[in-house]
Amino acid sequence: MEQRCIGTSVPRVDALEKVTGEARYVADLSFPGMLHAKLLRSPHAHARIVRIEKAAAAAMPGVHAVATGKDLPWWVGECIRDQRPMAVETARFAGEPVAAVVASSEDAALAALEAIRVDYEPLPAVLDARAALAPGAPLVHPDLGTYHVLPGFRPSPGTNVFHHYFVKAGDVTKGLARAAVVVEQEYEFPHLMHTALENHGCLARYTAGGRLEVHAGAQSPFTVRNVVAEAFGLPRHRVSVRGGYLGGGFGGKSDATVEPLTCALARLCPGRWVRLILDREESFVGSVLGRGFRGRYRYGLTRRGRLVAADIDLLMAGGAYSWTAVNILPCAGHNGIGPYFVPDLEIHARGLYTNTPPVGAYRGYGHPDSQFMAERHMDLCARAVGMDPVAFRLKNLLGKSGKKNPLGQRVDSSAGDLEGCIKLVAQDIGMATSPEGIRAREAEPSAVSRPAVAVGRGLACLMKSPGQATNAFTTVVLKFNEDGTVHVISAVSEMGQGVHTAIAQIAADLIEIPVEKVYVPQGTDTDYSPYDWQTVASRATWMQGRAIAAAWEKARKELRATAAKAFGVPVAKVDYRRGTLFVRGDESRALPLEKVCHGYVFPDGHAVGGPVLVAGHYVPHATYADEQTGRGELATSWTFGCQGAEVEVDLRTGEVTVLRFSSAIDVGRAVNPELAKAQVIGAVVFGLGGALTETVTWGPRGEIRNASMTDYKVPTPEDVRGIDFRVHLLETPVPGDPVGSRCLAEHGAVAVAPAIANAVADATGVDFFDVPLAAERVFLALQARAAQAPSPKPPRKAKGAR
Amino acid sequence: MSRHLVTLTVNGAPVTREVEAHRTLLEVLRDGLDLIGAKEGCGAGECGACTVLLDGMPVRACLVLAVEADGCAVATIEGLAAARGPDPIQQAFIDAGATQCGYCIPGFVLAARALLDRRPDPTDDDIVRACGGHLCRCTGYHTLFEAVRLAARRRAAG
Repeated sequence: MEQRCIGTSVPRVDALEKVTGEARYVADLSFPGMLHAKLLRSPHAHARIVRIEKAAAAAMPGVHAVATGKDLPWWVGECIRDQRPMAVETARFAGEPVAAVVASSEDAALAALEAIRVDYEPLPAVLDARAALAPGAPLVHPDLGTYHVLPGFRPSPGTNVFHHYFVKAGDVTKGLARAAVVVEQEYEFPHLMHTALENHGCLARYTAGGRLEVHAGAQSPFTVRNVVAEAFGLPRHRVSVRGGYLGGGFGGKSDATVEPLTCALARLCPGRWVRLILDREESFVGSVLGRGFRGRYRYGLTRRGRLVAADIDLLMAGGAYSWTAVNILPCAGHNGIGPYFVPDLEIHARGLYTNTPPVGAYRGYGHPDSQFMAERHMDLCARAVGMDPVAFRLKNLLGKSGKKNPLGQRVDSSAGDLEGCIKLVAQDIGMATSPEGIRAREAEPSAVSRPAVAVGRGLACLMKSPGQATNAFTTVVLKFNEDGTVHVISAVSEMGQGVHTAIAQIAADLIEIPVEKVYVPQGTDTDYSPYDWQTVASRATWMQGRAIAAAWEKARKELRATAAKAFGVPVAKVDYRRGTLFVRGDESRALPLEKVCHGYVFPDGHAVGGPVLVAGHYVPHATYADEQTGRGELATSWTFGCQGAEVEVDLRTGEVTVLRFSSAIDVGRAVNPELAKAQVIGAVVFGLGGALTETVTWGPRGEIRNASMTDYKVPTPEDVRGIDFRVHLLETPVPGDPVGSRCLAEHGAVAVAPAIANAVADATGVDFFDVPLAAERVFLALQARAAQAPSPKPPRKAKGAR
Repeated sequence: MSRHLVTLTVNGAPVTREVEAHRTLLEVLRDGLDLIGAKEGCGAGECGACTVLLDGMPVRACLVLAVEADGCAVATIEGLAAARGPDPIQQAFIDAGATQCGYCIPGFVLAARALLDRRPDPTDDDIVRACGGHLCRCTGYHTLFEAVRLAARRRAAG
């Protein structure tokens, strides 16, 4: 294949629909006779539901159904089936639905909600992972031992632990004992909210014939189908789930959130579409949150700065239901060390039930969570042995000598040029990489350039592999049309990342036709679309590329067979190039694609061959984790990179201003460089929110206190206007890959928080071990330090060593 | 709930509807007139996704009561594109690669339109201020700023 379209920045295939307002999202759909659902939510983080009085609501005008959890006796979940569509007997988080009204209008539904009375008996709640782990902690799921659990997951009945992933190599105790220097620190990455501009929503209808039809604002229509089919005991072919454009996903719509409940309510009103669209506050309290990790890091080093042992203990406050969070644990765990080689290591990642909204996928899926800790820890370790943070990282890089990662996989330079990434970023932000540069930098005057402002620089490496099921297939269908144009039919969701554009480019190059001849239909219908597991994990373009290559191989074979009949030669003599089938050695005997791809018609009218319609699929080789070591093929493709920031800290206010942010990621091949860069910058700004301003705050009853876009601070235009963004896409070839691309989407968000925190520490000498570095927190920390040690010059070295 | 006759000029065409006093302009546009280009992101004036132009000024349609808009000209994203294609501002958003998920885009395009009608040669401060109050979770804003700059340059070039 000659890459003519791959590597060029063709315009997005969906841009016109989006700028004209034509693009339809789930809340834009409506059907005749459609009913509207509204939910009553628990104000308590943990409470027994003593009694629900619903008769008055049911008698109100326009009301079709009033339901409580007891009316919806189904179980929901994939890995650990621990959830009901609505709370039954016990409310496990503030915001959990306890009753629902389905009515002819939203107003009627809301009015009826007011008439429902619920008596609660509040129970002791656990809101934090450490509290949930403590002996004698209130149990969020006393029935944990009775749930359906998929193989590979390890809930511990009688505790709040829903899964414990660990990975071991060598002997960490001996490794630490031998280490000359041991550095230990605790970290936290608190809960975040996706805050996609589009709220969660779903429409469902249970037909007279017993089929369930669903329009889902979800990243993964097939997963929604499978979850609701399992919940209701319906065969897959009696459930159809349709997905369209998403107004942002970021993981928050990746499993199932509102869909099972909407479907359950639709079963109460057969024949009618039931529409449930959450409002903004409900999306905060009643969908899924992200992150919520604590970690204790203990590294052993030689005096000369070589890592020899790592002991890592991660705890996730996974919320009241585990099934969307459970797979994040292995990712946070085995990536929790970053791209460095450590011979003796032990990493534990435990997920705890807590009385908070469930945690789900959140841009980066565990990787940013633990790599924040790992990359902060790398800076502390560098300081402890008196090394420059860049030199320290370069010294311990995993990929340089083909050593093994925690999973036991050998990672060599073909996995990407991380060293090159580090050097580019260091150069961009003014951190030196050579010994001469380090000496020059140390000779510089203090970073404090103005009396009230401190400038600092920090960087952090990133690594990410797709966290997915071992059989997470993707499929694609190539449908050739009469004029030689091609439909590339795929079930991956377009949620802003540009995957449909990338798919069109890949198909165009593989089939060797202009991209204008390729059409990627928008929207998925599980009745008609080929299977795709989920649009998550930065996997769609990478996996689809390989599936398209597999499909094209079949199509090419069919085309050659038809052409062989047309030419009257053996198939082996027919070749294909750039939209033309020809006889090898006699290129004057040639037929254009359009004369062959819908069958060939001879001069006498009879036809041979047929319309070419082929499917291709792809799944990488993956296995479950080994029970004893935690090792295995849990990671199927790596993307490495580095991110760095130059920041300015206002010492009077604590405000952190990002001056420059640089990202270098080895993507193998950038299918569409402009889209790829836009993804990276978008992810960086998303990450800056979590690093500087965003955090979910909790009220005294365990309720989210800042459930609005005013109080939960996502970056605004004013916040980012002055930042000088640099993006480098490195292209180390991927051996044996038909397209050559690595996963890229979430990566730009993975190392933002540690880069910022490292830069703030460089600027001020104050170490933060959690985020966000909001002005108020930085101000208070500066004040505290001033009270402790009145020296105006920030210390640069030797903190954090024990 | 009292009901009121409201007359609007929506994308150039007169429209009269009887609405309840508490209905927002956004509800009337989306539910009454099937103009779904304006999106509800927050319902509280925080995100800007429901922005429309009221007599040429950008407003959050979720914060304006329909009765308040009585007698006004309303421009929605659907009114911008001509039959032959997108308007130049929309084209600039396409060319600058400013769309990702697209949910915030109608609001940004209309904010840009109002800005450029008022200030054909905007400074970067003007652009950032015009985008203020609009949230985008995908792009990081830089391509959006660039789209507005590009639209301004093209307008100036005629």
